[in-house]
Amino acid sequence: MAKKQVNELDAFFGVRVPRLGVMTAGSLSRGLEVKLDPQTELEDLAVGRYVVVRGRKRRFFCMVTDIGLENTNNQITLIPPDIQSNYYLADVYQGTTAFGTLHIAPMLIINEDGSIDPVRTIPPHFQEVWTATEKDINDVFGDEDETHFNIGSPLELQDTQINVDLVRLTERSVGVFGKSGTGKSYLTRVLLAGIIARGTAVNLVFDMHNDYGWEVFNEEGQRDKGLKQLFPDRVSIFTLDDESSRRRGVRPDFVVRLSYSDIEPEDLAALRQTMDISDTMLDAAYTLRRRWGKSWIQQLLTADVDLIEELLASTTINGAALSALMRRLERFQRFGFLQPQATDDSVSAILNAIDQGTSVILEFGRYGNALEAYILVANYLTRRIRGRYVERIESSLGDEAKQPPQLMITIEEAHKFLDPQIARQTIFGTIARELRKYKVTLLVVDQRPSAIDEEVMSQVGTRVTALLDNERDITAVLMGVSGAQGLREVLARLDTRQQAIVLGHAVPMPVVIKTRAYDEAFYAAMGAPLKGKKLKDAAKKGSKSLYGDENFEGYD
Amino acid sequence: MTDNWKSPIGHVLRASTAGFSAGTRVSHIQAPQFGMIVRAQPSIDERDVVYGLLYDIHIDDDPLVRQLVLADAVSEETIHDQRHHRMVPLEMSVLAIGYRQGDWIRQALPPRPPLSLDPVYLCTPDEIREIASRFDFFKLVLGASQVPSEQLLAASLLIAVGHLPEEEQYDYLVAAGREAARLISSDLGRLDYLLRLISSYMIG
Repeated sequence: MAKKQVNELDAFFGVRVPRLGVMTAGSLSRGLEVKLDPQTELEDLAVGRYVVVRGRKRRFFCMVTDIGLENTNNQITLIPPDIQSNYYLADVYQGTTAFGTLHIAPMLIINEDGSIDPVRTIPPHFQEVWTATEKDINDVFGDEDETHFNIGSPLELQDTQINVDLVRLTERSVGVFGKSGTGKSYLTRVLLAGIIARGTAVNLVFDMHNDYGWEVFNEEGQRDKGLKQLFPDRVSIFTLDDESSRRRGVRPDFVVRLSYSDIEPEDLAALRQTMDISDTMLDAAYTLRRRWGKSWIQQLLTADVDLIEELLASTTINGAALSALMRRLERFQRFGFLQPQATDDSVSAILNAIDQGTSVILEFGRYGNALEAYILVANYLTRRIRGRYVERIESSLGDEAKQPPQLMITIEEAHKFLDPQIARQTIFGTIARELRKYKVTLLVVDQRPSAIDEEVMSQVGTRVTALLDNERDITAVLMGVSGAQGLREVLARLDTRQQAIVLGHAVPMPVVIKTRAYDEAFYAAMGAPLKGKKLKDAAKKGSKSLYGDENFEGYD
Repeated sequence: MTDNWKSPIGHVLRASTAGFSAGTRVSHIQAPQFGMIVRAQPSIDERDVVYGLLYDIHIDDDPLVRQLVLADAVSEETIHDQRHHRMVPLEMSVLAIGYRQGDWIRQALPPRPPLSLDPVYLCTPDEIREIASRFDFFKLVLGASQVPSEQLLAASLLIAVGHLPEEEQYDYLVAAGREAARLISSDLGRLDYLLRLISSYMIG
């Protein structure tokens, strides 16, 4: 007797989307339990995949958060049947007496008319559970258009797209998290490319390791194009290390030089942990700034013994603190970008570029390895740029035309800026907390989200997270997310490369993606106009903005 | 497959709604077989056709047989004569599993039993396929205390599967096994025994 024959219909039409099983139990808060059908191959399933419970009136779009083994009689676990030598026993027992289960988290409801609603109820018992189809995915994530950008595909449906809403993405802060080597820079580059391509925000990227501006070598040793190469007219490369940039074949648009006289004690506050600067040292810095004005650092670094003695005698500055502060500031002398007097105004240069809609990528060159240089410069520039933004927004009196463009500032090693102990004192903590009020948001890239201040994390609207295996980091990323317990399993089991979970403001529901490949096709898509339906939609929108109502047929 | 379903294999001796016994000549022992699906067919009136599984075939003794077994030597002619002309029938016990209701066979206990001397036939291949297409009768078989349930169900399934196309046979037995698993998974000993009886046929 032949074992199993290939189904002729499947052979003719191709394998159809299979029914997985039936829903047997659960609750809205805990998620739903599914008993798998005998023919469902357990090994083909994975956490993070999408399934649809076909209720009586609606489809419940759910994510698989756990997979298990159950039985109807526990005795079978004590005396397991010998399925290795008897395939008939295997085929009968598996799926009946011993069966697989899924735990699924309901994410959204798809109504009969295709509209999407948040989940506020669950389907009744024994409704069928199916693998999500392309149509289900498209109903939820929509088409790619002028504000929606394809960042990848669901794990099991490689021909479908997950499109993030870039307007929603950029109007709040974004976090890209993942342990070291999971492709955070790659994910960030894809997101930045989308934002630049669609023009939903202008970017200022503090590029610690020269990952974004010009070409970089990927894991396979091949060259990936940088954003300047993809968008030559919409991206400017600024550099702190002209020599390093030119060595890599980059012709920077601007060489950033900062003046000692521009560094304020507030800029040192962000370096408290990195440079071990105490409160007493900071107090000394404020006193020096008041006494010597803008040249306080230079005067301190060149002061002779007499001047120091006079200073100690005439102020409340502690001698030991002053010596320690001097030693800290002496470290700045190895930073070539810090000069007694800068010839160009770097802040204005960056703001000019931003005003023209040009994203700025600031390469750190060899200074990228000095964390204090990175924090100092990022903090220095951001404080001033945000200050100018505040002035302009306030003076615009709500007139959109006078307002500067939406700005997204990308920082790496974000926990160094947003640590709970300093987040309230740094400009980045302020930006993260004030949301879109002043049209400046953050894109924070970090491998230790648990080290970021909780209040700041709660304001990160969209979180794109590659593999994390530290419990505290997972908890931090999922803080404030409903159904977080199920997502923990998903997050801890992502592949180390090219997989991420996206959750928050820019997507209708948490979604696990295989990240879009950053390859020739991607480069081509960045330069290509939107096609087909996307183009029609864009034309329709243009027409609407010109003529008002899309059904307008002319004046009498 | 022979056409031995065209002639009766016996006639009803005793009956109840749970089943019936049929008798025939000992010489007709070649026709019935443990696990076969049979029907008691009323010949002249509108009574129900009752279907059942043949779960026991037995031959009672009589005074002459008891004497003959004590004899030192019994000739072949005597044995032959005793088997073909004795007045004690070969008895077949049948477990009722369904009855005909209009155009289809309902798998449940019949509302009334067959009557004495109703002829009993082996089911036709079409009837076997119809009965085998549903598994409702499993519960009656597995729940019957007076029959060797697992042996009977396995034997009847293996007979039924012989009437299906070869490419459907394995899937059919798997489906049947799963239905049995659904019904008696609380008694893994019985289930395992039943499945091994079925699989021993496939494996060899």
